[in-house]
This record gives sequence, C-alpha cells and structure tokens, in this order.
Amino acid sequence: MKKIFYCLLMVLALGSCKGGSSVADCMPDSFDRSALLTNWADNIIIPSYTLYVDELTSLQTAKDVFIETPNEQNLVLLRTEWLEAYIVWQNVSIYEIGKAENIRLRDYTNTFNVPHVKDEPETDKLTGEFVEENISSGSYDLTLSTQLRSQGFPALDYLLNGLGDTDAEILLKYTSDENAAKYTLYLDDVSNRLLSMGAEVMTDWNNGYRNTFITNDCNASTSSLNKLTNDLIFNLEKATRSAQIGTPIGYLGEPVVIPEKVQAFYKQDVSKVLLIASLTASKNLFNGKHLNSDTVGESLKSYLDELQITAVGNDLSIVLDTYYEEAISEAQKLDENFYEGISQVDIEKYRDIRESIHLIIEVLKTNMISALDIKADYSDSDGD
Amino acid sequence: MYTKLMNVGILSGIVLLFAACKNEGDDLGDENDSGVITTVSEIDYDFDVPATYVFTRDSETTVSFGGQSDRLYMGKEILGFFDVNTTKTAENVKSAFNHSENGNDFDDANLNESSKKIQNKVASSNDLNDAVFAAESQNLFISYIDKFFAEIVPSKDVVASKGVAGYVGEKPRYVNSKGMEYNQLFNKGLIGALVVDQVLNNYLGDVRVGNEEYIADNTNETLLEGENYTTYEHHFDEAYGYVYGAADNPIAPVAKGDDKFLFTYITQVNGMSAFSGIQDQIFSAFKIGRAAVVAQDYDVLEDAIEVLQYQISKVVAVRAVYYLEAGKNNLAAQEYESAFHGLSEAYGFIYSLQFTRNPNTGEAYLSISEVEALLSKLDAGDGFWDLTDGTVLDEISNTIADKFDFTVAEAAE
Repeated sequence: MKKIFYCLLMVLALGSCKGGSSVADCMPDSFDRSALLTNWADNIIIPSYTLYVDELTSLQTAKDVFIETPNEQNLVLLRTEWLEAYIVWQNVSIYEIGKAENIRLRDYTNTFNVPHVKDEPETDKLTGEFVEENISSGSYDLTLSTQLRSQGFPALDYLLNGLGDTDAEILLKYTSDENAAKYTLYLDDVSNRLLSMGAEVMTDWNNGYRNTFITNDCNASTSSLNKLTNDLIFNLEKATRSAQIGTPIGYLGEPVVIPEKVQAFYKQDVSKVLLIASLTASKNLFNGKHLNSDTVGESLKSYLDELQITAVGNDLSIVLDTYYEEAISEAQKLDENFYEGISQVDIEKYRDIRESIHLIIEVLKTNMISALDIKADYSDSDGD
Repeated sequence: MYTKLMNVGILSGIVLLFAACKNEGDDLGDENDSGVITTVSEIDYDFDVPATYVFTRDSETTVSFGGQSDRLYMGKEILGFFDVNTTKTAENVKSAFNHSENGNDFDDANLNESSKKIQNKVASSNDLNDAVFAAESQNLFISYIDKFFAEIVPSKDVVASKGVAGYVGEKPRYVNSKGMEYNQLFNKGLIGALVVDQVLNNYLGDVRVGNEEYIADNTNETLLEGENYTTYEHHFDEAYGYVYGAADNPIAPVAKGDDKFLFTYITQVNGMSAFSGIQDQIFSAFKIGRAAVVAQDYDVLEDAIEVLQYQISKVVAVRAVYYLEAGKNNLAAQEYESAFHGLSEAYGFIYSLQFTRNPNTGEAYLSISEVEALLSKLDAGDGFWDLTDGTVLDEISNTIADKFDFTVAEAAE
C-alpha cells in the first residue's frame, strides 16, 4: 500500500515538474477523467434515468387504469409496473448528485426502514403505519422531510400488497371500504410524486447538467468523480448493505432482528431480486458497463488499470470485480423472500452476504480511493 | 518532525514532491536518519509524567481501553479452543474469532456481551489502508482454525513424522505434516497482525496521529460526546490497551497476567541480558507520550512514538531469532517436540515482522515480500522436518538481525 502511495506521489511530482502547474491540476495523472465522466453520464446515468422515467410513466398509466377500474387484473398489472420501476430504481439510487441530491431523491423515493434505536419505538414503525396515519388524518404534505417514510416505493408496496391478505381484500380498500376514496387519493399522490421527482432529475440532466457534470473533472473534493465515487460507496453501504440486510437482521447496535424491515416487506418475495439489482448496478457503474448492453467504457475499473494499481499482487480492478461477482452469487443463494428467511432462526447466510458486501465497501474505501486520490466525503465510526 | 505530524497528508506530499523534482531517485528516508530517537532518555520534555498510567480530568479518569482488553481476553480463550479434545467445532471457533454482540462464543459471559471482535482488526490499520490485504490476512487466521480441525484433531493419536500430521513427544505437541503447530502460528501471528499493527500502524500511525481535526480537538480540549477524554487521548489509550490491557495491574504492568500476546514477550525479552530494560522503555514511552498528549506537546508525542516503534518492533524480531536459534539447537539434539514448538513460534513472529515499523523509514523493518520469502524457506518441502542441519535457520536469523541493531548471538541467549 505504501508503495502505491509513493508511486502516486511520484506521479504527482512528475506531473508538476513537467507542466510547472499546481497540485490541483485538472489532469492529476495520465488518465482522462472527463472520458470516464462522459461514459458514466451518456451510457449509464442518463439512460438509467430515461428508463426509470419510462417505467414510472408505465406505472402512472397502470395506476390511472386501476383507479378508473379497480379490479384484480388491473391491480396485478399495476403491481408488475411497480416492481419493474423498483428494479430500475436500484440503479438510479446511486446517482445522488446535482438535482437528485438537491431534492433528496433517494430519501423520498425509497426510505423503507431506519436502524433500530433502543427506547425509540418510532425507529421500528413500518411504512404501513405511516401511510395509515396519513390516510386517516387526511392531511399530509409529502414534500416535508418528516414524510420520508410514508411515500415512494415502500408506500406503494404497502398500498398494492399490504392492505389485505388476498387481492380481493386489497381491492375492497379501493372500492367498498369507507376510506376507499382516501386510499385511492393516496395511491394517486404517491405515484404522481414519484414520477414528478424522477422526471425533474432526468430533465435537469438533459437540460445542461450533463455538461456541468462532465466538465467538473478537476481533482477537488467537489469534482464529479469525487462526488459520484463517494455516492457509489455510500449507496452500497447505506442503501444496499445496511438498509437491505444489516438493519433487518439488527446487525448494528442493539441486536434486534426485525424481519419486517426488509425491502418490499409487503410484497415479500422480491427482496432478493431488488438486492441483486442493487449490487449489479453498483458493479456496472464501477466497471463502466453501459446500461442494458455488454459494451464497457471508461470507469473506475479502467482508471485503476491505467495506473496499474494492484493489491496483494493482483490487479485491484480484477479483485474488486471478483468481490462483486462473489457477493452477487452469494445473494443468488438467499431466499427469494427475505422476510421469511430472516424470520428463521439461522440468519447466518444473511450475515455472510453482509460481510461480502462490506468487503467490497472496504476495498473501495481504502485501496481504491487512496490510489485514485479521491477523498472520502463521509466517514462512519470504526466500532472501537 | 513537527510539520510531518501536523500536516502529514499534504505537507509531506509536497516535500516529497520537491525532493523528487530536485533529486530524482534520492532515498526518501535519508533525511530522517539522524533525527530519530530510540530511547526515552533522549526525549526532552518540560511537563510532569506520572509514575503510573493514570490520567485524569476533573479528578475523573480519562483513560479507557476496555475494547482492547476484551480482544486480548477473547484471543486468550480462542487459543484455548485449539485443543485436540475440544467439544467445539471449527465453526464455533471461527464464530468466536468473528464474534458479534451477545453471541454465545466464550466462557466469560462479559466477552459474549462485548460488541468487540478480533477478526476485523487483523491487518486493518489505517496506515496500511489495504482492505484486500486485510481480508487475505484474516483468511489466513481463519485457515489456521479450519486446518486445526481438519488436520490435527483427526490425527491426534497418530505419531507425527515427515509428511504426516500427528503428535510429537511426551507433552505432546500436535503438528501438521510439516511439523507446525497451528495454535502457535495463530498466537504469534496475531502479535503482529493484531497488536503491533493496531498499536504502531493504527492508533500511533500517521493517519490518526496526523489527523488535524483530532489535534485541534485535543488542543481545544473538545471531549468526545458523553466521555471524559478527547479522541486523541482515547486513541493513545487504545494503543496502550493492546499492549497492557490483559496484564496484571494495567496501570503499572509488571507481570503478564492473562496476556497471551505482545506484553508477555516484552517481559521475556526484558529478561535477556542484551535487552534488559526494554520493558521500562516501552512503558515509559507510553507514559511520556500520553502526558505529551495532555500537555499538547506534539513534538514530544512524536518522539515517544518513535521510541515505541523502535522498541516494540525489536521485541518481535528478538523473539523470532530466539526461537529460530532454539529450534536449531533442539533439532540438532533431535528434540523434535521442543524444536517444532519453538519453530512454530518463530514462524508466527517472523510473520509478525511485516507489521513492525522502522522510525527511520516509516515502513516495516521487513516488507511483506521479504517476510514471505523467509516463511517460504520454512514452508518448503517437508517444512520443519527438512531444517535439521540448521543452515536455513541461521540464514533467516541473520537476515532478520541485519535489519535491526542486535546480533543473532544476543537474541539466542
């Protein structure tokens, strides 16, 4: 590791000798950062937003059809659209930069749990409880930060899957229930807001933010590369590892297993699909793989390769790709239904997948960012 | 040294940068050679240093290293699990190594309740900053557990011979097909990968000690929320705790007590005539360093850390050579039981050398690849069974001693 450090300093030194420019040069090394940012923007991020908004638009249409004619067929269709959009969301979740960061897209779209805190029962409340409170009070403002847990995909999960044990029971809530109009309105509000937030961010990327993103390629902590790399790590740590696995199994703090805290608790059998989508999105961004294509462009992987960064004698990019692969194949061995799986006595395999994801995070946070001279913009306690 | 400490990240980078421009290929360590100090008598300071490791603020202690004590006691229990008649499984022992809060892993209920674990601290220091290496190192220790259960336990009634795992001698010692005791590799390896790495490369390392935010908080006496200490004080105590956290009377440690790791071997090296006084060097350097943190005298702190780097690293090296030479003599006398036991300890201490820290260079006294090269000499062929003529063992001893300022004869006493 030290060797890498000195190599990097030498690289910096040579650069500064040649050009006589400052340390904060826009080209800190031989790698073309703007090519990486261009690939990320044009082939991964913008296509992801485009697909995401497409999916949300289909969801919107299905929601309108359902509200018009609330029957089982339309419920099933709406649910399918919900899941498709939710899967694409796992990509979009990573890119918390620009407008998305500005409007807290991730928090408002997919806050399905918070970690358990002793003597704070609020931390263990489920989405359905928040939704029911809003529906029964009839007055709510989803733009308030106090409303993070009563909207987005988790709220739709509850509204489409959690209102009854059978589809017939769920339909009653939208038809003959005394609050049927309120449930319908809430479904409408939550879907509309999801689409409008996603569309707002997509529009921003299409109306100039792409260039802002690509041209901000200097080596400052606010540069696009620094920020999005931190976003990649943060998302993998908080949205993937902690929210999807760690929090339901009560990994941190008071070890309280609360299987109801899984992602898509009300649907139940899609938590694994969503986890794999989340891990795959992270891996693809790291590798620079274009959305829905096998083409691979400039990325963190090629950056590490350009600088010939190794760890324990192997190419770090290959080590990381392997760790991602291992985590994904381990995830594939989990139960489709995390709620049932985590409710079992033996949650060892959930601890294992958490460890596998954690290892990727550690390597990104230590080996990779120091090699690429990226500064972590957040830190968490080291548990000692 | 002061600027290095204060701005270790940026300034040292710039200094190196200029150095590289002016004089390419110059030895980056050269300018430090003269300035490094190795004994506490060389430290000048103008504040009081207490006789024992007791530091207070408003009459309340500011010292806390419970997490480090926990890990040392966990390590001790895990070593006890390397028992051929154990009722435990490999999974049980690995679970103890990777303990989670309230896991029923230990006999001591307090340890079960602890949120600390050993595994994720192995080779995980901030200065090494290499999670791939950390994972590989952790897997090595896990493999010792697995192999103990896979190779040693089933052959506990077999007489060990070249290429055959089993027992050796009367005591007896249980060894693998190369004559190696996994519990010794585990124990002595952790002295480096856990204790020395956490002390020298983490809590007393550049990343933590050079952290400007921590320094500013210490200078302003900004205490950690809910605690009576600054982060800077606490980190120093955590380093102390890895050395003395399981000793008898940790505020004035003399006897090893329950310690199974570094402190035990500090006391042993201290008992050798060439190294007499090393125990006091280390303890005093810790006290002076901690008092320097309180006095906000960061130059003295740096001096104390240099002494600790030098003296602690030396303990590991002396024990490596000591066991190599003892093993050589035992092999010559065909005392395989003692020989294999000692060489297993030597193997672990040699492994540990990659976690030491030379104050002249800021690097380990032996690099990872140098350590690998030495260990591969012990691993080759039938391992310890092939070393009977002693030449390889002398070779390794000389290689190690050459990196330090003691002789093989002094360490072989």
